[in-house]
Amino acid sequence: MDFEDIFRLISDYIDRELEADICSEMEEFFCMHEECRCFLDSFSETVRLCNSIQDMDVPEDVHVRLYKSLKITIRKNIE
Amino acid sequence: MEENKINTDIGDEALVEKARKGDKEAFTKIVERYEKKIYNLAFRISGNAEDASDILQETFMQLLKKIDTFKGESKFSTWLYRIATNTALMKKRKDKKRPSVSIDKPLLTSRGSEITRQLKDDWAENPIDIVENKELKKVLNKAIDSMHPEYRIPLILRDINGLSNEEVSNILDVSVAAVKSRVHRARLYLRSELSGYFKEKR
Repeated sequence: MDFEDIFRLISDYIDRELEADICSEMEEFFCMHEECRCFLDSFSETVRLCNSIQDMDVPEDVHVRLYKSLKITIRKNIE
Repeated sequence: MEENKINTDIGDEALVEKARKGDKEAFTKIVERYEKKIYNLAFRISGNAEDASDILQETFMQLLKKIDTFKGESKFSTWLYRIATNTALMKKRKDKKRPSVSIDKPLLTSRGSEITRQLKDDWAENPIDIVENKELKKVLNKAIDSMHPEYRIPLILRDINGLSNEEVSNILDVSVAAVKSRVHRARLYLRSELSGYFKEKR
């Protein structure tokens, strides 16, 4: 295990998609290399930040426009 | 569209089945359920409200036309996201206005500096603690927005919409390995952009 491996595998690590023995190897490496631990922290925080992005509400005019168009189209389809 | 009386617990597939048989209430329920999600996906892919509104409209028009062709081979939501994503990409191809950062080897920031092997950045402040910080939100959104769609869209679907690699693979019609690789590179790019922000703040 080296920095290159960590760099390559870090997404799979935080997504829990690695075999247990590889995870253990990475964790040992994190314990031994502070810089790598910092990299893991900032990488994980980045993903957590993305996960925390909230959906915004649909603006009222957009909502009204959508429903109006669908209503017209549905009516046309029935006729 | 009419007021909806359908049970809110009813599953997507059952709703689709009803909508296919011409049940307007069921179709309205589907629109209600996914309007916000599709609008946000469209906004994040297109980067602006006007296009997001058009994509939202076009997606549900497409759904109205294509609902009979849904075979249930994937989850309905995956199928609908696929329609929305393709609609957004078609619109982008037509417009071709927006510049984006290409994330090819070596991984470059929008300012041209290489971001690969920066292992030293430690974040003194926890970004989650200051997620309400408008400036950080702006930086994050700007960084996401600046990425090439090849990387931005998998990241949006995976890390913002919370879909699995398999679902994203299905929506984008690329292999799971390709999804994982693109999301990984997008995350690295984003981390680099945010690291810069935190370093400046210290």
